[in-house]
Amino acid sequence: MEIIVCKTYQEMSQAAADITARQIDRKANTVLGLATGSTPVGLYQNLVKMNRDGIIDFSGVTTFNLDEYVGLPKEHPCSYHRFMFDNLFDHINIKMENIHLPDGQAPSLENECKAYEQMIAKAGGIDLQLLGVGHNGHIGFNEPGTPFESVTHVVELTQSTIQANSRFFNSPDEVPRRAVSMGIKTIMHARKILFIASGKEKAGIISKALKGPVTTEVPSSVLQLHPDITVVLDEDAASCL
Amino acid sequence: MKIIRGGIVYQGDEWKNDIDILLEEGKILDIVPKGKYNEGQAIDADGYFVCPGFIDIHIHGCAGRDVMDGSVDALEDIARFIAGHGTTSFLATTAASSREATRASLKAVAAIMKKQCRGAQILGVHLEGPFINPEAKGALAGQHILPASINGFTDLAGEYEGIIKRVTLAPDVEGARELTGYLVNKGVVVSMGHTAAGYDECIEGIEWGMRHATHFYNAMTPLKHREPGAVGAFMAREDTTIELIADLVHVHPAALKIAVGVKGCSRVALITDSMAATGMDDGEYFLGLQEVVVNQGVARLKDSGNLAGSTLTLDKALRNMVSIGFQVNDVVKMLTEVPACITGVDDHKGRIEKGYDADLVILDKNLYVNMVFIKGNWYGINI
Ligand SMILES: [Zn+2]
Repeated sequence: MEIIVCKTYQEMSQAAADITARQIDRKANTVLGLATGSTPVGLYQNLVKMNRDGIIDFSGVTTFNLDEYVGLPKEHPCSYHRFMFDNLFDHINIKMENIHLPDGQAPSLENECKAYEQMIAKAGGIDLQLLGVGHNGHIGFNEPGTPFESVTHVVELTQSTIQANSRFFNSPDEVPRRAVSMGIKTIMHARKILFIASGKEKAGIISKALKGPVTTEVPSSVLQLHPDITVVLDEDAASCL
Repeated sequence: MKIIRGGIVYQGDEWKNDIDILLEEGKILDIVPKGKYNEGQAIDADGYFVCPGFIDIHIHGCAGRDVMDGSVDALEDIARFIAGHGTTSFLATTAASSREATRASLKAVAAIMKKQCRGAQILGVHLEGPFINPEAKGALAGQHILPASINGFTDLAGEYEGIIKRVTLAPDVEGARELTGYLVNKGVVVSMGHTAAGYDECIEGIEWGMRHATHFYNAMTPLKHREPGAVGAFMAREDTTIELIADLVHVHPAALKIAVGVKGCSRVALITDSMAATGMDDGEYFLGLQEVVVNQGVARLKDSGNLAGSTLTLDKALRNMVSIGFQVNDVVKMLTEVPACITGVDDHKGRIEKGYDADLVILDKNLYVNMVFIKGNWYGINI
């Protein structure tokens, strides 16, 4: 495991973008696993800029997002579809058909989960998976207690996650109760993982995830077992290491 | 160093609580009381069963892939899929086919054995056919069945003879004695199967060195009280081992109990004999070159309706056996130690012991796989 500590959120975002750019440079048809949330916004801004400056070419890149809410229309301002298009896809030269997010409105969620796994496999597996971490250690929407064996599945969100995400909605009541998420096994089978975190409030969970015992109680702790993971933190997030 | 901490550990036929297993460089470094060492990466196994990795000595395919696809890709997909079900090593099993197709499969296995890859490790090849009795071909392709001979074997194996660890052979085909002698001499496991031979002929075969029975009960002569058949021969002879497909379709639960009751669990290996449809939806598949229809997880040949391999995984086999009344520790033995012994890898696999390969399966209390370590790496991810 390689841990890179940057001074600020901006530097962290640039460092993570550089790693992503190097991956795409090495393999033009890279399969990226992408994440949502506030942490990767800066990284995405850097990628957009690097694409505009001709440093990265997304024309061969395929993406798979970690998760999506169940029941939220794609156009909904809080959907992860919308987030990804607003923050990244609308501003880079990626091909529409190469973008994948779970469909939270699929008539059969069970089939959607299966199909999503199959699409990832068909694309040759994920080359680089970007990850952030929740306050309780969740990765994707894999909450504490999720078996490490899990593949893409429907998740009942915990109260703490609903609370944390309610800041994006008008009220906690509007936050969907379920989501479709890649499983821990899906994530762990990525060839390389890029794990990013920033801010004082993440310092405790980062220390647990990277230095604590590997346990399903802290889903991100499983990342310690991945053979090729790079962790990029700002100084605040690294303050308990 | 990794520490598998505080699990319920299968050791020497029984479960031991509050044990830490120390892993280093792909091996089990030591087994110590919980908390003795704190240096290293702890993996919390509190409340979980920790078993040696399962060993499948008879598997044709899964995840839409077949060993007879003859490609490294197919083998990698198989290896990764079964690793998720607790299998950490296996014998890639061929189905009787043309010389070219068999060669292609052997070549692919030889290639994958040389490189490091994710998933379960391939211990070698199990040739199922072509030296079998067409009357008991089961789901094997009749047109590719051959009489047995040393020349026939070496011609088929070519430069890949060294990776063939097991051959299924019928004692009642021409040349079986000669070929058995040759293989036993080379240290290859010769197992009796796909045979119409009666009791006496089977006992003779056992004398030649056929000390293991391929998918016991299936594709062999049954036990009748005046004609004990192949089933009777292997039940009567204590110096033999058998293997069972524990999908509760190929063999009736009572027949599973009878077989284990007679042989004892230290002489029974559980296998999958699984084919490409394993882990996939119902539909049409191939077993080798034969068309197979899978309906509710049961695979049958399209033309004859014969059972055509299973869609079983070994973790499911464990749960099946427990569901019909077997003790978890006895079933684990049949998934680990026994197949390790049969294939002669029991000096470094199949047990949780100091110096053994760090192949481990961590199961939750419902016997579902939670984590798999292959040579000390999670899932064998080591590239
Ligand atoms: Zn078979």
